[in-house]
Amino acid sequence: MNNEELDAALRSLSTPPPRLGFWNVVDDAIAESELGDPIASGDDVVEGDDGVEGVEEDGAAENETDDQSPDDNVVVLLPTETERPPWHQRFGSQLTAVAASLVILIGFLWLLNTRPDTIDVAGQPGSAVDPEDLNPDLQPLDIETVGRSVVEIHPDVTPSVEPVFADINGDGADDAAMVVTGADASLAVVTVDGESGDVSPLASLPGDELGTFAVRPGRIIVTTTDAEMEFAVELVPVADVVTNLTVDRRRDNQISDWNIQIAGAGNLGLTPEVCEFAGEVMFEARTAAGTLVSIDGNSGQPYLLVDGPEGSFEGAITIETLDPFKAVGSFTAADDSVVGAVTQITIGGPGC
Amino acid sequence: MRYGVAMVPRPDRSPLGELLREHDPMMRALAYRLVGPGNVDDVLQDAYLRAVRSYATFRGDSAFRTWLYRIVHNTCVDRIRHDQRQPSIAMAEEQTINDFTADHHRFGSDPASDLEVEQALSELGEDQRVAVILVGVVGLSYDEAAEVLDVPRGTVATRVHRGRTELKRALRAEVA
Repeated sequence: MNNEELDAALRSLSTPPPRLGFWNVVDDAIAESELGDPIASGDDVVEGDDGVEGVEEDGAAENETDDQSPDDNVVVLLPTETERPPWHQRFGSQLTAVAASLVILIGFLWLLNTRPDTIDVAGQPGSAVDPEDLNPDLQPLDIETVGRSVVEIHPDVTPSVEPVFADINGDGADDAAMVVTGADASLAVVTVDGESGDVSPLASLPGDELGTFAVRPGRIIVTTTDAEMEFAVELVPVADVVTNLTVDRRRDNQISDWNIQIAGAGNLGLTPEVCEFAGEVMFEARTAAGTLVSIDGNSGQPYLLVDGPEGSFEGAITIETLDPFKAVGSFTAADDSVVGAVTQITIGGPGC
Repeated sequence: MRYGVAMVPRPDRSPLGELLREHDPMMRALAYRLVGPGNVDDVLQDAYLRAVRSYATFRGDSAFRTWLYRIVHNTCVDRIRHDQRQPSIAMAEEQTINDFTADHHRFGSDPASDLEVEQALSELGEDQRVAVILVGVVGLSYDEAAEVLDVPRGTVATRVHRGRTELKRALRAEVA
């Protein structure tokens, strides 16, 4: 099923109508709500002979007939004067709002003062290093290095694994890979690719023959249909960045831009604590055209989203230089057409 | 407390009632797939009652339908959280699939393909499912969906992409 077929299938889903009498409850609630507000009806309140106030409709006196049928009207009692509520009821909500704002402000200021200046090395919870010390030897990065076994797993950390089947190396065929997420949200991608052995250090296995992945501290176990293979895991503090690009063409092409997503990414040596902003882990970049690129690390898996002109492609990003807070590279589509150049990737969102 | 007597028109179809009826099909499309056919009417009634109660405070900062979507979504989430605390959740999920089947037979849609899509949708994680429904089924833009869910636009895009990927994989498996 391709994107167009999926769009059509989703749009064609039918939803049954409401049950009989569904709207009665809602209409009653609306009626009660509206009748409770005499001002909203536009009527004027008038004093009756019996001391009970009435409401004059459209300038007509109480009990005066008008063009409306009696069936169209209902008679209700309306509160016209209420006792003055005590001060804590009148100002309680405002006081609560002011108190909550103060708490939020104090919390924000506290966070500003306590934000760490250092970055935890992935897989080594609690160990902090200066960002300047990271990634001294991994430049430049290119597609040849993408997808290598770069997961760092601390002996005390049992990471979770999410298998990914996508075109990791841009050769047009799906590769099998797994995104390994450490307990500290460190990330890595391990690939098994049958098409280009030089990309994958693990094995030459077509993705569709793979059975399951399992990760143990320091080991990766790939169970295929006919064998179980176990691999040692390299220890790399800062690893490869970009693996795969797929396009999410927008619905009906009505929105003239597209997304590129990297279905897995190496460990950038960053932890969510460093770059968390408004609950999201954001890495930002700008293409040559000035459009925003962001790597969304929400839920621990970095995704690269590129907003730009409408298009559909697969390809790869080559990262030419990388340091803890900036990467420079270019994007090349799988069909050899250069879609756009990534001039700068700024690691760290507005809150970093 | 003093009371007055008012003669006012019977509000058979108030403007708010008309608005709710106008947007009901899309709200229903969302709620139907979040809480299941058996709960959709109850949840929507709850949501609309909430909307009626808070309509006076609606300031028009967002579009009415976005505001209403948010209420419906929050009500659905409340129901899901409530149901997850019940011990019979597994039975309820099984019942939901059966309800989908019955509904699709009853309303004449293509039961085979629609049911496969409904089932694949129901197996998505909640975040991805909501995002896919809002964008793919209901037809909201990413910006509108982000406003409804109160998350950044990029997060919606990510959830939609992952959800669609999962859907395609699941539906491919169904075909195979």
